[in-house]
Amino acid sequence: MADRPPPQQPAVLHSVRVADWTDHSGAYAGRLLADLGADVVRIETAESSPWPEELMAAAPGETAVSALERYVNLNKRSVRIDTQTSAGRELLAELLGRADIVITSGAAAREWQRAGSPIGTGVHVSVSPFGDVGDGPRLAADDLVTLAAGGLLSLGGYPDAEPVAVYGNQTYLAGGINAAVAALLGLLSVDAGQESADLDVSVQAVMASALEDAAAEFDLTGSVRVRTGDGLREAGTGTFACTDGWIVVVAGKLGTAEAWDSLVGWLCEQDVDGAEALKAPEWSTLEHRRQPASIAAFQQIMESATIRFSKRQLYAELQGRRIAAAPVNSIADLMTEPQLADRQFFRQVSDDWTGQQITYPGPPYRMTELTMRDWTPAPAPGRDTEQVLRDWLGAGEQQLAALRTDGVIA
Amino acid sequence: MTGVLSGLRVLDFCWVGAGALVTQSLALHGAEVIKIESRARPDNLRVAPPFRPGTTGLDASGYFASRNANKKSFALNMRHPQASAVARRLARSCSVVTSNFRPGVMERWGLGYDDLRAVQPGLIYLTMPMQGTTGPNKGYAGFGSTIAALAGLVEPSGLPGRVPVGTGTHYPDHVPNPGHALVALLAALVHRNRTGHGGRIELSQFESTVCMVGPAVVRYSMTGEQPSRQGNHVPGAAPHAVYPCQGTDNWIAISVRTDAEWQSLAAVLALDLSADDRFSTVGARKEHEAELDALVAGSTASWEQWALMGRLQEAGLAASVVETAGDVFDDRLLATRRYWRTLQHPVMGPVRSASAPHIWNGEPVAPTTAAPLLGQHTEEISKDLLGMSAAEYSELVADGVLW
Repeated sequence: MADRPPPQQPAVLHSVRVADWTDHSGAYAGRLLADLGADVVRIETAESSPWPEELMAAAPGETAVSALERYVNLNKRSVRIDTQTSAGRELLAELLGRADIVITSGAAAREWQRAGSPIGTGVHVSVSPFGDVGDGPRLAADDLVTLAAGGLLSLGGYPDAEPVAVYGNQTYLAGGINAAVAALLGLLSVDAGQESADLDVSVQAVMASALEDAAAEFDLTGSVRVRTGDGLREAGTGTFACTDGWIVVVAGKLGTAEAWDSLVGWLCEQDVDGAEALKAPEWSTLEHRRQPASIAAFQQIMESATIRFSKRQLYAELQGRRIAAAPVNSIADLMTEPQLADRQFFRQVSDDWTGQQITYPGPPYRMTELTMRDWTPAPAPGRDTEQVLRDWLGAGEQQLAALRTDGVIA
Repeated sequence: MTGVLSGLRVLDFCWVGAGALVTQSLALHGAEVIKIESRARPDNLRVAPPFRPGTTGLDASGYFASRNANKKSFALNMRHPQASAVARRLARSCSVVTSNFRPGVMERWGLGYDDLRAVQPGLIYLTMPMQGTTGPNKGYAGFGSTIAALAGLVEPSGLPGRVPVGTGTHYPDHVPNPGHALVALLAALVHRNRTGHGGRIELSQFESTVCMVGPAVVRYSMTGEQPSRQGNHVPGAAPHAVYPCQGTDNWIAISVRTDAEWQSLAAVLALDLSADDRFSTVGARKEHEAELDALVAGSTASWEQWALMGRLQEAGLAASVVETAGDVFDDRLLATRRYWRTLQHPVMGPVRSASAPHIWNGEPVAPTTAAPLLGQHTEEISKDLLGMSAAEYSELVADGVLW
């Protein structure tokens, strides 16, 4: 898995210990910190919640594992402790106490705290759908429900049907990102001399800040923005059919006057019916382009041109004219996307738990003069129990043997 | 500890989308963020709606205000030949520099990483070009919505057999890209505080958004399976969808994963289906999902949405009203967290602004000042930070440099 030269200097977060006691809804936080070199130890107990059934992946003849789990646990270590025993609970408390950062999500950690057990001494980040104040801890949610509570669901989908959620458990990843942010802010405060930092991340609040101009629109004008789906908000901006799918184009409100002119120029070159009429002066005003009749007329003209090309052809063609266009890529399309290929974005990892070669997206950023970690495969649950107890607690062989005998560790 | 970043000064060339949210978070936590902008080329958001009825101009956009709270504005016309010298002077006093231009723009002004680290040891330099600084498409144009499509987030979103719809917003600008950038930037700050070393962070907004479909990439590599548009349905859960409630365009999202939860839901909705084999197990419910959804919808439609959410949550079920952009201002839990703050803006009047999504040691991390007027802090920064004389400042204003 390590296909790069050894690092010149330790990774950015190399001396930072993170106890990752999260479920699927918060585990991405630890992944991000692990990428940056933190020693992120996943805590597995008998009470750990199962991974959601969506995104289960099984190679033919193999037991299914969660692709979400493999993704968010890359670069971590894993300990498994039987917390049904009091020795196990003590061991867990001790581990949490040695972490610079403890991140929690899910029922197991919440029960632990409810019972008044200690949750570390430095930075503690709790991430949950509704946060830890008021009724928050009592409310149940999954991705769909959290998207609804945060308002983002109301903006997705078609005007003639119910609101439709965006793909891919975005609230779990968004919660993880914001938990990582909170963890690092907390660490900065502790490094600056604060005794401890307790941060409670509400994913509902995360999503409520992602409503684009819709919250401000309501605040300033009282009008409630509704979902528009694939329908155009204005001529020049929308989703258009092509031979192998769709292309998205933005040459409207957020685009530039040049982009609109350039798009009209391209349509005229395609010699499609009605294109010449778009050169009339009224079409250069946003007001005209927002008329329903204008939108309908434009959609027809545009699609009669786009339907002749593939999405990748249109992407190159329109971008060559400085028009913000993009293919609606499938997951398979990403694997052959030229820009990602050129930047060697995807990486192969030999996953020793499943015995498979797994493709991962690279980290979301690259660094110069700052070092990120060489990747290690996502652990099988409990893979690193003894080594972590040695590293974090200084446990000796005798102590480990006793813990095994007592069934605290396997 | 709301001012954890106090003492940190940031020279901020970010504009429009993702970048502005990164530096707003820094500003919320006490950093002094100096936003470089100008009348020669205002941030696109300064001219973007919404506007309060009766207000217009470069200082009236609610869109701009929603991502520039707590910042300072320094009006500097980068098209003027003298401007980059002023920017470099500013950079000497700033230990973080941020931008989200196309590759090469900062370098043309002599404000590239290599230029600035020479004058500012330990500099942390964040650049967020849409597709990165290398590669055949590095100069391509785009917005959040096009990045989402490019990154594979839109294609699996939508109803079966219909055109893909994505989030209906420029989502990558709001969550993945500012979020990932902040993680990198804050980690670099931790590292610098501990070692004195800075560095450069490059976030390709395209790549960062692909990370949001990472699990699907992993699954595809393991099984060859790709996601398809399934509306609100997911494997292993039913009912799992959005259902109508009383009134117009009112909806509730409900998620049921176990048979016990299904029994609870049926009880609240007074659906007598206990003897109906079509719905007795998750597998059976998935098989008859269209009939199931119709039955559930038939019952929810007579409920007031908040009352139903309360009853379902009391029964331990995952459910929420599909809150609109108006509802979130009245949301009880967000109110308990004191999430929205009303800030006074000289042109827009009272503006509601979001706090950080976390509560810190029991206290919200709230914005304190509304988005700046264009150039509001130019004079203050020129004189106090750059040490300009009144004469020098006036001359730069008269020459159209500070404009």
